[in-house]
Amino acid sequence: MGAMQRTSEQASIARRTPAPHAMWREVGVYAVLAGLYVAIALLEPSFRGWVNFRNVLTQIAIVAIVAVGMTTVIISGGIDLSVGSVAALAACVPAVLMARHGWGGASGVALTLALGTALGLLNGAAITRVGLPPFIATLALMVMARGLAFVVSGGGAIYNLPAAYLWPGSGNVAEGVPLILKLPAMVALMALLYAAGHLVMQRTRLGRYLYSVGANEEASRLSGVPTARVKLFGYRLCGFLSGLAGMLYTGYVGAAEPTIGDGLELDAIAAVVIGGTSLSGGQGNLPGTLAGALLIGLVRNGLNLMQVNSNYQRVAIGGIIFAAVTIDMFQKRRRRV
Amino acid sequence: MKRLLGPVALLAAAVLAGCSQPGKDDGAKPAGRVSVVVISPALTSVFHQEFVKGAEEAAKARGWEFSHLEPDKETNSADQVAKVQDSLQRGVSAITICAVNDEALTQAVKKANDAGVPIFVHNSISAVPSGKVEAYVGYEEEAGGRKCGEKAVELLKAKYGGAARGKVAILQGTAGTHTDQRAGGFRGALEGTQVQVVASQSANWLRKEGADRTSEFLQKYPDLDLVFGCSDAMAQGAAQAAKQAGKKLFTIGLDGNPDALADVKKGDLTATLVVFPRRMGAKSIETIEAKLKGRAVGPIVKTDTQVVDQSTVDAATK
Repeated sequence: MGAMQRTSEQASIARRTPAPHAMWREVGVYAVLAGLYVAIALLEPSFRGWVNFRNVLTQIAIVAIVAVGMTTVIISGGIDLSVGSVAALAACVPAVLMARHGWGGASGVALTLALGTALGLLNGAAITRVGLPPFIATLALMVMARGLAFVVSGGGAIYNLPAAYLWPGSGNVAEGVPLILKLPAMVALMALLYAAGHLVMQRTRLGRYLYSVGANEEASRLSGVPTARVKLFGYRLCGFLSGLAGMLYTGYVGAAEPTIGDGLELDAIAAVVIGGTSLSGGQGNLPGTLAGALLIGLVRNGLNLMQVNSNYQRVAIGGIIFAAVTIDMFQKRRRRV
Repeated sequence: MKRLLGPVALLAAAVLAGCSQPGKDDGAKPAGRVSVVVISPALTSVFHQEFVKGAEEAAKARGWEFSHLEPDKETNSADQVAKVQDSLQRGVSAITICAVNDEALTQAVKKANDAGVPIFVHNSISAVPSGKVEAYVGYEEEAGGRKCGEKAVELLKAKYGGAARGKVAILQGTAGTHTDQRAGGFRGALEGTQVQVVASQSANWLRKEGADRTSEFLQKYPDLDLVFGCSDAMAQGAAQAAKQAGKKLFTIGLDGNPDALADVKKGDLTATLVVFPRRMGAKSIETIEAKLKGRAVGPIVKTDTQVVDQSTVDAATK
């Protein structure tokens, strides 16, 4: 196959793959989100207003940031179960070096992000080079990284970390302003990541490749899409964002712990699925995922403010996942007819 | 492929090295040497790590063979029962267990009884429904919660002058006896005062959830005075959230873990109940020794607790 021909085929698949920014069709999750917000606000006065909404944004930021990577991986036809453990390991290793071996905040940040990316790459390589199923490869890393996080941290919380390392998870965009104007840095970071991620997914060749690999890997490969590299990108991004999440978590609670992100993978997958991304790949988008994360966050927050027992909250959230996916399925089925 | 093998091998080696540590005392044992095994619900909390350290020191001082086994998560009851079975299979002189739940405890006690190995319970003093436990070693959680409640009353008295009043919230752990007893004791101490418990939610023993729930408490009750966490980690999360929200809030924890004591010293955490897990570990070994020497023990061996604040933390924990 000549070089010219390949380029033109790549261009043509890029054109042929439907750009799934048909967001207006996927009103399901947004309608539910708006309806629930109004309903909870009517029932619970302290739910209303910006300050509580900002609380919710802060509470969901970590899950939502990881869910950017998770969305990318799931759209490309994979899954990443290791995100929570990667967050823990990527935070604990630098934390030990900073707290006990005099490392500075900047090198700590760099190592966290590098470690997260490297672990993501390990996932990607195990899947694309060794050929392990994504579920198995990332499950193995999930168990392994969690164990290592306990080993390196000695099992307990690691304190006395440099302020620079803690800032992204605990600081505000502008300090010294009235409390009501403060915007947590991690909320701003979340907004930036969603905006940038959405642009990449919808407006670049890489984004279109991610959808096409997820929709039909074999066809994409035959059309000249570098499928392995595309998938690798997803896992690397997911690892990088998991490392970032570990750092934010550490800043938010003031210490690095080996238990960071326990169950994070399920929260992130729930946000992705509620947001309308199909677990079989090729479909979905980031705004939906953000709406999914926000939906879970608002419901949890509203039920907490109403003093509902946390066991009932789990029942409610399970119900929402079920309902959201069912609505989404019916919408898609109707569209196809 | 080749590029991969390096890191994979390294990771595998590190995991294996990590796994082999707890078992390093398991070599061939000379006949007649006392061997004791500690079975915790998991080693994910500082409390159980400290307990194991205390027990290990005490056992080594007696020249005993010491080992500890635990599931990876504090919810894995089936695995905990399997660890008991494994210990019995290996042949030990005594077992002390802090069970994941009552079901695991009942199973563990039954297996030990059947094998004729004395079994002890630590960090719980409520009797097992069936089977024979030699002794329960632990602190009274309800009394501990009560002490925290009394501290809350004292703080609020000082804040408002005269009679204690004000609003408090409780961060519960995952539903179960630990939460019921600690929170119950705390509430008991507030009875008959003007102090109101305005909110009580589960933060599942986790620091982040402690912070999240507290920011919600403050949203609903901006004039909240105090948060009691049924564990240190949750109370520490509460303190962090109050700092973020720019609010002055008393925070009281329960455990007295080293990192929480450091926070009390700094003034980040107002107070905590120290339950001395290391001393509890040593006490368990003492109790086992007494039993093995044929002396009468138990059935309940209580260990002490103490509320500390910034002014008393040094004296109490040296």
